[in-house]
Order: sequence, then C-alpha cells, then structure tokens
Amino acid sequence: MNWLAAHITREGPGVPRNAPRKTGLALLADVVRREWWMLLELNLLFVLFALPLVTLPAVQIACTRVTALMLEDRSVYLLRDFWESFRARFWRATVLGMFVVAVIAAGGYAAVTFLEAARTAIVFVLPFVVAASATVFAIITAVYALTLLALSDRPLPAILRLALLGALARPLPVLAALAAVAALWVLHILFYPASIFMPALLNFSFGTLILTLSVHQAATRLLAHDRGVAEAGQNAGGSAPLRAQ
Amino acid sequence: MTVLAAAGARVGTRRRVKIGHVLVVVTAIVIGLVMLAPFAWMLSASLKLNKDVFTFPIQWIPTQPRWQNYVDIWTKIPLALFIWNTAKITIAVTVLQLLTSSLAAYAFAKLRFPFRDTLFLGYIATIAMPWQVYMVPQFLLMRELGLHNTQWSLIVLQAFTAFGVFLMRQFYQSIPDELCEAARIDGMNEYQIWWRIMLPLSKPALSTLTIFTFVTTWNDFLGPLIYLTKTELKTIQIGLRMFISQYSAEYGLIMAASVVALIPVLVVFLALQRFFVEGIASTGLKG
Amino acid sequence: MPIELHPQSRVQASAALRARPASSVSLRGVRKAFGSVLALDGIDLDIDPGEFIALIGPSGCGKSSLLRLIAGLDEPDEGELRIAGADVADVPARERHLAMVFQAYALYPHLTVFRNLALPLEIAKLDRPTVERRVERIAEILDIVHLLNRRPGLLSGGQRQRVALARALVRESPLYLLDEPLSHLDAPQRRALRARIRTLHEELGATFIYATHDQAEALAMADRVVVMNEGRIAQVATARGLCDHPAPGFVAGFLAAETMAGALDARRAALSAEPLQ
Repeated sequence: MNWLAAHITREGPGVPRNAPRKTGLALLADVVRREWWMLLELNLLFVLFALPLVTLPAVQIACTRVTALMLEDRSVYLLRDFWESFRARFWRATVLGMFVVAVIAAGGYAAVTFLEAARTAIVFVLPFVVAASATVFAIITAVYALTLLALSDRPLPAILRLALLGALARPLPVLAALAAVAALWVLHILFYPASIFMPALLNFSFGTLILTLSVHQAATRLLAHDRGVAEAGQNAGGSAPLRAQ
Repeated sequence: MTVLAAAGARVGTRRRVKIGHVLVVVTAIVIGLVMLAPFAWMLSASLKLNKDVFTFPIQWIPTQPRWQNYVDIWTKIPLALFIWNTAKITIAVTVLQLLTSSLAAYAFAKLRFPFRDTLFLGYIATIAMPWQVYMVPQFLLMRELGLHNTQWSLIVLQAFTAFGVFLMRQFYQSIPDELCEAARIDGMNEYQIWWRIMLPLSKPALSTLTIFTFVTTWNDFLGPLIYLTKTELKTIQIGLRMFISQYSAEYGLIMAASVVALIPVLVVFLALQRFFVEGIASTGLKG
Repeated sequence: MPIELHPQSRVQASAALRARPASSVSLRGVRKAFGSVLALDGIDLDIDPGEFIALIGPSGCGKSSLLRLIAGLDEPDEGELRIAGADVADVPARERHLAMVFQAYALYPHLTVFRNLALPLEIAKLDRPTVERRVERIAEILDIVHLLNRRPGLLSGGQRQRVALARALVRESPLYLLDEPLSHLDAPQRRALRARIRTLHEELGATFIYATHDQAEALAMADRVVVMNEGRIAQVATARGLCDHPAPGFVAGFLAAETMAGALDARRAALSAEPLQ
C-alpha cells in the first residue's frame, strides 16, 4: 500500500510565478477543479443552515462570501468564514433579502396580471412588457446587491445605489448566470427523484459560485471606485453619480 | 468487426490477442448478467400477483404490472417504521465503527507502546471466529445488562470491529511517518494529529469501511432476530417476515419491500464508490 | 578579511535588543543505535543560545539522527540532552518548543500552503490577524506568495522545500533545527535564501542548528561548524578556525583546499549586503 506515500512524495508540476490571472469560464473551471470538495461541503452547510427558512438570506450572503473568497484565490477556512459572515451580516441580509423579494414579487405579480389582462385587450401588452423587464432588472439588481453586501460593509442604501449602477452597467453576465442556475434546477426537476443528490450536493453552492463569478469583477470595481470617491471626500456626496464606469 | 471476421480465419499474433480480449469481455458480461439475474427476477416479481410469482418459464416482464404492490407494502406492515429503525441502527453503528476503528488503527500504526504488535495480532485473530460461536454468551450478557430487547444492544455490540481496525491500520501505515512527526513538532497532541491529519488523508479507507459496515448492518438478519422482539423496534429484514402468515406468503409484497430496502444500500455504495475513486486523485492528495 | 564578530558579543547584542528567548543545547555522551547500526557514538556538544551551528559530514554520519534526537522524535540510548538548561529526557516533542525543517519536507498534503504555514500558529492559539500577518510576511521573505492558495501536490520540489522552510520559520521559537533545507534548490536560489536565513537569524535571535552536505554553505553561514563522521564529532570550530587549523586525518581530508578558499569568499559575500532577488 505504498501508493499513498509515493503519491504524496511524487514531484508536482510546479506553480509558475507569473501566470496571468484567469477570468470567466476558465476561472470557473479552475475554482471547481481546485475546490470541488469544499463546494460540496459548502452546499451541505447551506442546506443545514437554511433549514429554519428565516435564515435563508443570511445563508445566501455567507455562501456568496465564501465563493467570492474562492474566486479571489484566497485560502478559505470554510466553517470559520461561513459562520463569521453569517453572524456579522445576519440582520442586514434579512432586511435586504425581504426587500428584494418583495420588489421582485410585486413586479412578477404585476407582469402576470397584465399578461392575463392582455389576453382580453391587446393594449395591455405594453404594461406587461414594462412590468416584465422591470422584474428582470430587479432580479439582476438583487444579485448585485447580495454580492455587494457579502463583499463589503457599506450601509444598505449605498449598497442599493451601487447595485443599481452595476445592473445598469453590466446586466448581461448576470442574465447568463441566472440562465445557468435555472438550468441546474430544471435538470433537478426533470430527473427527480434520481437527481435528489443535486440540491444536496451541488445546486446551491455551485449556483452561487456562478452568480458570484458573473458579478464579482464589476462589484469589486464599483466598491473600489466608491471608496475612492468617498476618500476624495468633499464633493463626492451621496448623490453624485459615479462618472467613469 | 474485423475481429469477428478474423475469428474463423487464420490469425496472426496481433489478432490472437484481440480474440482473447474479446473472450474475456464476453465472459465478464455473461457472469455479470448471471449475477444480476436474481435482482431482475426480484424486480419483475415485485410487480406480479402472488400466484404469478413462481410461474415457470419465468415471465420477465409481467403483462399487467401490479404497481399496487408498492402501495400495499406501506400499509400492511409498518414499513416506514422499520426503515427508520434500520436506518437508525445502521447509521449509529457505521459512525461508531469508523470512529473506533480509525482511533485504534492510529494507535496501532503510528504510536509505540509495549506489546503493540502482540495485541494487534490477538485482536485480528478474533476475525477467525464466526459470530455464531459466541452469540449465545453475548445474548446472556446483554440480558444481564438489561439491554436485550432494545436497539442499544445491537449498536453496542457492533460498535467495534477487528476487520475495520485491520483495514484502517494498513492504510495508515502507508501514510509517511514524517507527517506525524512534523505535526508533533508543530505542537499537536495525538488527538489533534488524528483529527486534522490522519482522518482527512484516509478518505478512501473510510469510504471502503463505510460501504462494508453499512451494507453488513443494513442486511443483518440474525442480530435483530435475536435481540428485537417488540414489533416497534424491528428492522426491515425481520419485518419482511411479517408478510409470511400462517396460511400464505405474499411473495409479491415481499419482493416489493425488498426492492425498497435495497435502494439505500445502492445509493450509499454508488455515492461512496465515486468518492473512493476520486478521493485518491482529489484535493486530498494531489490538489 | 571576512567579517568575524565574536559569536558571544553578537548574541549579547541581539539579546539586548529583543527580549526573545533562545535555547542553549548541550549533549553529554549521547549514544543512539537503530537496531544494529550505531548512528551516534558518544556525542558531547555545547551550543550557546543564539548561535548558528552548522553540522557537516558525509552522508550517514549522523547529522539527521542528531537533529531528530534534539527534536524529541527519537530517544537517546545513553547520555544526557539538555535544552535551555533543562533535561528533556521526559519531555515529548510537542512540548519542546522548537521548529524543524525535514529533509523530506513533510508538508500536509491536504491543506493549502497558507494553511500549512498557519497550522502551527493556530495550534499555539494565536489570533487570526497575527497569523495572517506572520504567514504573509514569511511568504514574502521566502518568495512563495504565489503559492499560498495551492496544495503541495502541485508544487515542484524546490517550491515544496521553500514552503517547508517557511513552515518552520513562521513560528517564533527559541530553537530551529534545519535538515538540509536548501538541498533541492538551484544555485542562485540557494545563495539568495542563505542570506535571508542569516537575516532571519539576526532578527529572531534564536539558536539555529543547520545540517548540510554543502561545505561552502556551512562555512559561509555558521558561527561555528561541527564536523561529524560515523556518529562522532571530528571537530568543532569557527569557519576561520576550521580552515586555518583543520584536525588532522578525517577533517583535513574532508575539507578540500579549494572549498576553503571559495568558502571564505562566499562568507564575505554572504555577510555583506547581498541584493535580495
């Protein structure tokens, strides 16, 4: 049984010093290959902590933070980082989560109502389109807002403002990520009950990883710019729009 | 298909090797089918009426599958309760065996104390004795302790296993000693070394032991038969006998319940088998 | 002229600057046999606190066995071993408060490099900011920052060796045992790291015992050099003393003439301000 010792002592390929940082799908593949076991553990942790459903927004924020750390190529202490993020951001996450869900639900309900009404009178198509796109925009903003809260400690109004800016500036990666997450869940539903292992092991953490990836670069730039503006101080009051995106 | 074509013709060395290869594969498939046949029969019997189960020649696909069987099994006997009992016992025993085996194996493999090897050989020698030899004295002991009609008896008796210690010790011996030495110099006591260094590195061995223990305990018939007499404590394997009444045996229902009982074992095996293979090439060792 | 401060005064100076403890090590009549092989045959050695001692000798002379004995991984058959004046015969390895670099690296394969380095500090219950600060600092000094989030399996031999060195140096302990810590690095890396190890020695003020088969390295880095042969100490002297008055017989033959000259040059270079890569 010396294969284990031989495996440990066998020389590895070496890590190049100046390899360029990967982005996009290559980064996703890299993180999955490196940290797949931790993603499984993260998913189990997610399911465990989300059992009392009220904790769901805080758990999602904590999960986002852990995946952001993975994407930033930093060493992750799973339990410690998860628990700290969960505890530190619990109330803000819950408030933000409820607000976001309320807005999306309102938009969705309005869209559905207008759709029903449009069956009778075609003129209602216009408000339907408005409501539907507003809902989609709200979802994208929600993703930005959750990630921004996970990455920083700004007050909630600032986070909402930055999230709106982000959603306006770069909505498309988020749409792609949402489509991928939706596909995961569709797969789960299609192959139920054989695919019962999917939510248990994969769906939540891997889905969050995809969402965080789509938002991460824009979010860090937003935060850095906002910090720079705040530090420049005087004429950068809360209402001044960020000039360069 | 060139291989089949050449099977009857004169063959060169290269093609002879291919024929041997084909023969091996065909034999393996045939043996595999023979092994799977009882399960296939069980599956088809679970969808038949009682009178059709033993018809010969075997009707592999029943003309009118009786899905009602799968509904009846939950109502005629408290199958859900039995599954819960079995799961309780199996999970408790598996966890305890993993814990005790890995701790003991760490001591036998990495620590030095007097009579270490003698003790180990003596412990391993107990594997040679079949359980049926000492099950009666064990029962008397459990009765003295007052545990004889509870599930605790099964859990306590099966919490330790010589085979598990042997398996884990062989694996731990292949972990280089320098890791333990570096850990000692870093200031860890032996429990910390076991928890932080040994356990994470031994995932393949833990998976193997889990598979063995889970399957053995889930399918255990004789133990629950002896120790559990109250109906609400019984496990699946004993509970299936309740389908056999004085005048008739409802084989269709027995087969259906057996199929249901088989699923967790299959799930555990398939899940851990994947980790077993990937545990070797995974973050644990290669990164 | 190679710079040669008296070891004692340097130690006193650094001890005055920092209140950090450094252990003395003393061995008396230590013998150790592994089965039928006599690894150490009557070792008598005194190491002052804060000294940088090099052990050199042919392979199989007992360097690693001596280090393992001091570390507490093996117990001497006979003789007395004292660390910081206390008899450590009953003190297990984890309570000896020393750090060791293994020849076979002994990195934990399932942890990232960051966690490998952080683990001894976490066991010592240091708080997280301190741990992060120290790990990042030692990673910069030994040039392994780009490896921090990788597991040892991916690293080349030289990179693993630097990580093993970092794991020992990240702790601030009074005694460091280094068993051929630079043997798998190429020459420019070795030169750069030698300088950094010396700098760390000055900073930490601790006792370093450094086993190596590279004579030039030993003569360049150490305050005193211990030459071993077949489990016995052949000579203990400073680099200068060794080169000027090698003991007749084994030591004189062991130290080739060109090694001595080259080593003195190397020592001069190492002790002057060599640019860090």
